[in-house]
Amino acid sequence: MRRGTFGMAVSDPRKDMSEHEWLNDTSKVKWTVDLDRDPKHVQVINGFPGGTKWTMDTAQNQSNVETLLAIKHNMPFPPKFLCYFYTTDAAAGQSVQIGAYTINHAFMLVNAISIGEEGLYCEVDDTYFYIKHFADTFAFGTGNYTFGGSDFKFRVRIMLLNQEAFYKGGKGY
Amino acid sequence: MAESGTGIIFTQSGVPVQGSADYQRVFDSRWRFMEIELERDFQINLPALPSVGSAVRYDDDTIVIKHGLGFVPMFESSFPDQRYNYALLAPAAIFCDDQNLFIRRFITTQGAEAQSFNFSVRIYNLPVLTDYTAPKGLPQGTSSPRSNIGVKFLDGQTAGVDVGDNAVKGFSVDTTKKILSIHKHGLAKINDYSGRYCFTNSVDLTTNIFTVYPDANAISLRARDLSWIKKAGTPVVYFPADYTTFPGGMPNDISSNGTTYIIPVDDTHFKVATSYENALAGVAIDITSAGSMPGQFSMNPLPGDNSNAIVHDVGYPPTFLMALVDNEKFVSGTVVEVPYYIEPMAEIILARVTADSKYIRFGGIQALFSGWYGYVILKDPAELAQ
Repeated sequence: MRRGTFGMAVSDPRKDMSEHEWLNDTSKVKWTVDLDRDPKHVQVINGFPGGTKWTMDTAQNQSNVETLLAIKHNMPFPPKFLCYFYTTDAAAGQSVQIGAYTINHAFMLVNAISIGEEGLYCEVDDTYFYIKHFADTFAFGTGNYTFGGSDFKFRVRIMLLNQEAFYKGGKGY
Repeated sequence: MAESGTGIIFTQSGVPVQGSADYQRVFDSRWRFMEIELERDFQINLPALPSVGSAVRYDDDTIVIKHGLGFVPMFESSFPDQRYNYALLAPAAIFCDDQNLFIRRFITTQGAEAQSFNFSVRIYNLPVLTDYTAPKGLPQGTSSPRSNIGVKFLDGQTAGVDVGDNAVKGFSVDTTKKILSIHKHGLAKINDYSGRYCFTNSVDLTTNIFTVYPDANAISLRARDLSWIKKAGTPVVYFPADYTTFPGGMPNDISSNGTTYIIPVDDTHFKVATSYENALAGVAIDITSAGSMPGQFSMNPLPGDNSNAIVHDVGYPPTFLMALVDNEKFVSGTVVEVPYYIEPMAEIILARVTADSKYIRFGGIQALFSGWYGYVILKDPAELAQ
């Protein structure tokens, strides 16, 4: 693989200009993000709520999903995203750690086999970037359970890159 | 604050170069970037493979592309990792080493179906497993609007884009946009003590010495390695065979998790002490009975262990990327060590991450988050929108 004949390359300070010894090379595309997009492609949202406090029957397989945020990205392709969820409030009794980050996914209830799972996840399509809230039950429990939903609050930092997404998001299973 | 070195710096509009925060710099020639070495779409046709003998397993690798970089790069892929999808007859994953990117199928007694699929891959021009730290910029700054002044380089591949355009694609460098630069990358052994354990089936009640042996059935070579038992003071927790009957003299209360500390003897023998200090002083617990055997010792972190953290020192909680590293492979039913392989960049990391201006720390969601990871820390604050 040969470099093109245009542009500017910078070698590592302790190396020569041999190929693959460069710190950077202007002939190669880099991750970028626009700072003046409307709607914004880089933004922080404080007090982002965890969604509806659904009550669901843990004796049955059930699944609820709701869209909490949709950003029209105005890109010619689904953009790659980096989304950081910083937990500021958590439902009482949950082991979710306040003050911790998760990436592209916010865990609210995890691996509670007799109840189910709850969380936030990101998704992107040709038109929108979404943050969605889901809760699932797995039919291993008895009776109803009310999920934490809006008892959770997050500080969310979203960045939509100018590169096409390979990973389109989802709840992970 | 003065900065050393020479180079070219572009900042966001309205932000003077002198005193600009590192994340307000759209380009600094002294830094690495998330620079794309190649991006390709592939159609893969994998042949069916016959079943192999009982209890034999091997890895079938098919080279997808020779990238020839000479280092293990960070990469991402649209290929859905099917390693854990055992509905398929041959679960598969995608890996990269210092020369090639390839599909690996895990072949078992059931053999493998022929598979055909399309996927895309993006390989980055950075040796992610080697240590790199950029010259340090300033962590603090002020917000500013986007610049209409700067430098653009056409990528030479996208038709119909001119330098004067404000296109999303078509530029290899466009300083009117924020270019994500790298503060640090390298190999992190996160919570490396996790998964280290050994068994015992005898203890000498006169010398208080346990005879230990590795788990011969462990898939991982690392799990069979007992070199860790030779470090004095290494904390271990003990689990008797019946989970109830501990060796006489051993702590067995839940509150301490039965933690004891190793006094090394040789490659397969050690005594235990009630405290780290006693272990260093060679003061062993007097074992009065064997309890329910075989038992298991599992390693806990050493005092002062910081292996749950990556030190970044960038000055703010940063955004970061990680990819799991592997260096083992099944050959004819046997696990062997190989040069490092790296999996695609993780899109979701199953950990609770706490970050500050100096550390990123990894805790478990349910089990402890552990493993070897190639990591990239960006000069980009995780809580600020600039």
